[in-house]
Amino acid sequence: MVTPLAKQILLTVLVGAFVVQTALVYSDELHGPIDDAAVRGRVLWHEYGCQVCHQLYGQGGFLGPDLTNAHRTLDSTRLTSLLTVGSGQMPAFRLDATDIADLRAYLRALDRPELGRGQLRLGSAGDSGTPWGRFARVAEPMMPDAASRGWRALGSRPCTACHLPLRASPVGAPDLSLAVERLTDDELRIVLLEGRAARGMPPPVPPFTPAELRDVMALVAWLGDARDTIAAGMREIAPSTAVRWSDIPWWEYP
Amino acid sequence: MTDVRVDRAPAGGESAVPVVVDNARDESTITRQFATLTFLRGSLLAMAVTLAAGILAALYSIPALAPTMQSLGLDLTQLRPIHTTFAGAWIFLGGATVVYRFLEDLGPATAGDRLRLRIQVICWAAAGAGIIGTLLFRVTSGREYMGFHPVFSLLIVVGWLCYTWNFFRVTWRSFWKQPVYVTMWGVAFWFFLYTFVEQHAYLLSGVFADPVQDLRVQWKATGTLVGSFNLFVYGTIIYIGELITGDTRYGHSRIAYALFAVGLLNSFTNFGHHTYHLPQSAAVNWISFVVSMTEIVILARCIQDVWCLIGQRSRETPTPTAVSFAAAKWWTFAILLTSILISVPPLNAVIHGTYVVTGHAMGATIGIDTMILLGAVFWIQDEFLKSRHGAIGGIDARRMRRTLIGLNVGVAALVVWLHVSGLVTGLTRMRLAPGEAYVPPAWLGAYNGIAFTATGALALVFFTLMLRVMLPAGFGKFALPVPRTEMRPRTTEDD
Repeated sequence: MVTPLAKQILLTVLVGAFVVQTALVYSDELHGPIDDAAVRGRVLWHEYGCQVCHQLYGQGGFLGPDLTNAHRTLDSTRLTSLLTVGSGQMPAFRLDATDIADLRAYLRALDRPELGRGQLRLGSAGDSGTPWGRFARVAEPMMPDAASRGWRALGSRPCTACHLPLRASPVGAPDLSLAVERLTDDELRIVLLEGRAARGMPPPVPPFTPAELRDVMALVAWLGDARDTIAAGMREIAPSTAVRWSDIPWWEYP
Repeated sequence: MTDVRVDRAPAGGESAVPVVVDNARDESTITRQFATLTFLRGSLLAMAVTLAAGILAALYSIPALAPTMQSLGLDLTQLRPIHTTFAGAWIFLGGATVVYRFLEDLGPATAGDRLRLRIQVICWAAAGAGIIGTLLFRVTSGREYMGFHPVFSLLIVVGWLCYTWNFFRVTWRSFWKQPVYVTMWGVAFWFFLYTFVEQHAYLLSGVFADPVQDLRVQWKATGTLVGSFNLFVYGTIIYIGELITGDTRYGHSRIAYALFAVGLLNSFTNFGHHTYHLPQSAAVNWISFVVSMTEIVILARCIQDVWCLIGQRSRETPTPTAVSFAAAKWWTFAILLTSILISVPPLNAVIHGTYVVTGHAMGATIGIDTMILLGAVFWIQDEFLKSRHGAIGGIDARRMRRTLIGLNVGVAALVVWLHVSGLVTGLTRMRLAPGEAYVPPAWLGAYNGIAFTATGALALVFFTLMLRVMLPAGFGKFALPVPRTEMRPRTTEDD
């Protein structure tokens, strides 16, 4: 049997612990406020429900990539295209240039890896690189001129947000190196100009010029031929798959 | 048919016999039973909405289906907040069902009680309908939790204040002499109110302009809000257990209060394992870690309970309530174990922001909270049905047991896959360089779709089977008031 006095003492101690923990959380000012443009960007971030699919510091959905430290890798053309045209499961939003600049300011304000990162990353840029980065390291030296121009045209659109090199992506974007096996030249041209709305692919923004279109088609054709060679090269420079547990720090940011 | 005993021990005694009371003209009883039934119905509706939104959200995550759903005007910005909001509503309404059932035994309702109950029901019904309607039109707060427009928070708070008043009007005089579940609920009423208001700290421009501070506050408020509904849920299992067995000793025992204290302390600080990676003071991290490790005490107790559960052998078909409570014990064991593991900072660094967190939350919400509340709702429904239709009016125990086992297997498979998927994600992404876009292994991408669809569909089938029994029973003509079985002290004549 617990006496009423004992219950009162117990609850008082527990409430005290809660007050201390609350005070600690509210008195913490390690990051600090963001500027006005970033605040406007944050308003848009919530208004359009971005966190439903994207994470910031581990909070948010799983459908899109974590954007905590995305700012430094975001190309402006690609960001505009992703936001206004959409991509696969990401719907298009009615945002003007000011809105996009504000959203960018918000992502810039968050991206402070010296204070904290959204995800634990132990690799170094030297021995790793993105799948498209590895693809570029292997394929670019081998590309014929037309394919090389096509590669540059492709890179200035958000195509690589959904497509992955030499494999289908988790969001359902097919392997581009197999496109020549599935589509005729005419079908490929239509896809590159109009997208495939039924399968969630938006038209590229800005649209390909006729010259760029020819070059991208040349790239796709070359990819089909050089697929095995590129794959072998990418395997050689792939990062180690070993997990080094001893490298994980007790606290990420002591 | 199940044979749930409705014996209830009078306060402070263990020896009592049931008597049927014809209270058809007792208006205060009508109010009490109306309250229990209304929240029971509301909780079942909230569960159905949660399920529907969850399934649609899962379908949206299949790339091939997303464009079709977008063309129908549906996407995750509507479905996810509906799902999370109504999952919380199911738990709070389920808790309210049990609390009002408890109040039924503590004397008649006054005119003030009736007025406050009316306000509570109207406010919450309006909030529920308004939240669905506005979210479908994409009017949202855009927050991870509390995704609805903050105007509905006002309605929820007004309803909550009435609910709190109704509870304390009856219990405050003897509050410190009541069993542990009343202490739990009493704390949870204020705890909810504080954390719910704290969830809206982002409306202050100073908090909004510091997103990392806002994230810290948000995790803290959400973590402790979950703590408040856990108090309602854990109080429920002790209360219903007391009703079933007639044994009131556990509710006053030291072990019950010790576990309550450890649980509540964890509720205050456990949010920290979601914020280890945020820029914040080391003290918050260390307090959270050390307190999380005290959960080992609860785990030890849980192992003991599960051990006793395994040792029990009965030839009778267990009641749906007993099956639900037993399932909750197993889930508590599993979730506590993983909770302790993910509170260890290096392990937490690997898995945070992956499906492990989703799996953990689903395991806790469905496995523990939902199983306990379902057990309570089964018991209350059965009590109503039997008092109206006699012994044959109850829920078909054999069929419901099979459904519950199927449901638990489906949810367990889903939760296990979420953990596997999240762990693989965590391990493969930690090898990458900072700033590098993470792309899951091809096999994981392929199997995720199949595994989520298969396990989700399995859980859905059994959830639907369960609701198919519970919704008609809950919305059937219960014809209030019903003759109630109450307890009077046992006398020598009874022997």
